[in-house]
Amino acid sequence: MRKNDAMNADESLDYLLGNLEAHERGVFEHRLQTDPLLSERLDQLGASLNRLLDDGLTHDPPEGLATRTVAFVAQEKGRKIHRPFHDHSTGRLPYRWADVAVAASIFFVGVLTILPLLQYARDRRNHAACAFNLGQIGQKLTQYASLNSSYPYSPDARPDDPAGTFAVVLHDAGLLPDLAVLDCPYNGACEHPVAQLPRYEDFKGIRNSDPERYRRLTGLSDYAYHVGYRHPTGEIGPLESRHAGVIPLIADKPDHDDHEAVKPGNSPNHGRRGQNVLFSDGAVKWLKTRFVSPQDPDIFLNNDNLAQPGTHAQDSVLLSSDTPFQGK
Amino acid sequence: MLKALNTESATDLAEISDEELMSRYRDEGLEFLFNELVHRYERELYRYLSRYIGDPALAEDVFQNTFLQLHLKRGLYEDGRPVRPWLYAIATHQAVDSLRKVGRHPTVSLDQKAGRSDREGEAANLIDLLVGDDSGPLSELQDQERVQWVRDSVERLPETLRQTLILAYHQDLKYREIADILKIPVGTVKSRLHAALAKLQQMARVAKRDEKE
Repeated sequence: MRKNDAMNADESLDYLLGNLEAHERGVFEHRLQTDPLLSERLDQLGASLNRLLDDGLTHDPPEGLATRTVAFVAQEKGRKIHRPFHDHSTGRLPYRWADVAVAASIFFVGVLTILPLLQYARDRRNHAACAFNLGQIGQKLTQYASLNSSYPYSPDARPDDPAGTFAVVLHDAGLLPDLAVLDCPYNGACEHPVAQLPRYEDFKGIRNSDPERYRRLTGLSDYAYHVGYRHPTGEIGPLESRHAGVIPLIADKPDHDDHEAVKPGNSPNHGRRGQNVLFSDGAVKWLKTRFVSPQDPDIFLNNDNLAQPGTHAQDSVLLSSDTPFQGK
Repeated sequence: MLKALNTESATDLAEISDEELMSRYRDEGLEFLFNELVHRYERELYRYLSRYIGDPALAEDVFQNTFLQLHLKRGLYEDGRPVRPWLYAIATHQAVDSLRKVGRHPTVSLDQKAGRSDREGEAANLIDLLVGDDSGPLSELQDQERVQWVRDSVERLPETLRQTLILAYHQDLKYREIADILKIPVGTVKSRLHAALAKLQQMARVAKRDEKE
């Protein structure tokens, strides 16, 4: 009985809300005709629902709503971006100038941060390349010294030949095929080494016939070379091959004043922070000063403080390639 | 062909079902098909939105945006899918969204969790509750007072109950259509509807008792 009441209640509500299927509706209406009590309760339920839910509002649409809606959609069709509903913020560009300014600031700060690092990396690379060049020249010098009694010197034993003659001699001996090793890549002045070196015999002739070309040839290297020393006989001569000590052979060249005298301080090749030095044992060292040893306190001057050959075998003096072996 | 379609008479359009109109609008994109849909649902959908939102101006905005969404989503329409529940679902989402944006947050009540198993008994109790009083607790109110009480009381219902009540009673939608719109089972629709009616009846009794005191 309770089950029937429940079914009736459910169906009554569904009937009033129009939720019965056609055949169910037919069956229910037949029962209404045969069951006055059910019919009465349905009327009461309908009246009760009406009292409980009728809010008296009709909610008629405003005039022309459909027309305005069609126009609104047609207008929106023309736009590419459909902003969310009720987003009344003003049309906004993908970026503003403030955004650009912030991005530019970040970019410049980044560049300012990275530039020193890039410069440092480039310096380190050039520093290593300079040391590599000296190492290459050192190998050729060692080869030459192993075949000769001395390191390269003027073939005519002329102390007035420039120190750069060592390169001509190595070249004549077929030991210097790549002249690029004569250029210090860090900050050397010799950025365009000569394309071709003449033989020593021609080199001598150019000295008188073409002084300008001779000047260019003698300034062919960024490196200073050992100009020998005063032998016990009193004569100036080259460093002998059989020399037992470890002494500098070639290094970044010194700085010169207007009168071509050696200036104090380190080589200009590396911003005067020091110089790469190749020693006779093949090692390349970075010297932050011109001091080599107590017997050789200045790599660019002899113990008499002159830019001239050493006063003894341990007093090494390295002079620029355009400076004569005998010095100035 | 285009001209022939554009000159389709009003009578011809009236004979076309919502579903066919929507399919043709999706495929052909012709404006008069869209216009016909807008006009068909102008009164019905606006009535729903206006009652649900409670603000005629906002309801108009939501109405327009609902049809904009219909246009934008026309490519998603599947042939034969009932248009009415789909349109109501879009409108309901837009309405909820708009209410949130204006600071009226629709709330979800735990009252909706009535179980399906006791729904028949619940229905019997509900009918008893509704017809138990001979004249009902609201019968003593003047008509103007009563309709105002109904508006205020429905407004105070939990959002899900209010939503279901409007769709079922005021919009005359079938339970399965409401279930489709709200993405809930049909049983839940009926439970919510019964819960809404019971709550309103309870509120009416409390109002009557307070009035007597």
